[in-house]
Amino acid sequence: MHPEKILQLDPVVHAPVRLAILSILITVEGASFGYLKEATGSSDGNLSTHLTKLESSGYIRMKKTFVDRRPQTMCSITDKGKKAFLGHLERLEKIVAEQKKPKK
Amino acid sequence: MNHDQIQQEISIMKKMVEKAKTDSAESGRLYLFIGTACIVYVVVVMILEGLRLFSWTLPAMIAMTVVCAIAGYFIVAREERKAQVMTWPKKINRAVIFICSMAMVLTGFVFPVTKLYAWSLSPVFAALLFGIMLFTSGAIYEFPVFYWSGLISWAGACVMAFTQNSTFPVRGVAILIILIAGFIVPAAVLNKKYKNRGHGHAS
Repeated sequence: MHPEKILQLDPVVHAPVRLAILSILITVEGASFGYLKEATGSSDGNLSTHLTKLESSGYIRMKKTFVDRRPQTMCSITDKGKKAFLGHLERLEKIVAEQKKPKK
Repeated sequence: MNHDQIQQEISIMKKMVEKAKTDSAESGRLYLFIGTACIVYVVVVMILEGLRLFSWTLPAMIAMTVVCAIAGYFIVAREERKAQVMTWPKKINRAVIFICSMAMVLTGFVFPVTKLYAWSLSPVFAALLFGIMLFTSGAIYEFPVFYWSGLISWAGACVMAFTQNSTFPVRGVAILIILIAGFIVPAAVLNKKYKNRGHGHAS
């Protein structure tokens, strides 16, 4: 495994929970905090931390609304986030291809 | 990063993408409502015409249109408000249903009332618009059954267009067949598919 290949992996995307969040958000227009919590199996605090990290990196945007007088946070991926996720996927594929090559 | 870690990441991505797709599937409830509302509409008009209560027909049509429009709005608004996941296909499809419904009100109701053309043409236009709505929905949701629904609607429109001189009960039965085959049956199939994916609750 080439060290430079590992270094190219985006640390923001690389974390499993954040990767799961971006995988969902790239598929849909938006997802609520509650849905992401259930999908990733995270606690409120843990998920908040990851969402804040993604938002501060510009990969997602969060919109707070009220549904039946209860606050709801809807998250959606930004263009920068899409690019980062797809770039991460591409790099993973390259690493896999590299690992499959017969060693000389 | 070893092979197992990479496979784990790829597995996470695949699992989450599949979950998001499954959880944002169309429930079919809106189509069931549209089909049921239209069937009630046609049956009520047939009964009034059958009882020769012609003076009641227009007020009944106005009342049912308004009630259905309001009920439809609340059903969609409630589903969207409570939805945990929003998707582009759903958003586009809601827009298609909305514009087709508006067009149906105009062609099926407003224009005949203002005597732009005869009432006998309104179910023809309604069936054409149903066909557009259903065919487009089939493409958006990749649900081939709706393609057939669209085609049935257009076939029904042709039948009604060329049998304008037939009595309303005959045309009413034709509309009911279109509604059951075009809306109720596919919507029930879609709803069953939705429930089989593990959705036992309202979205």
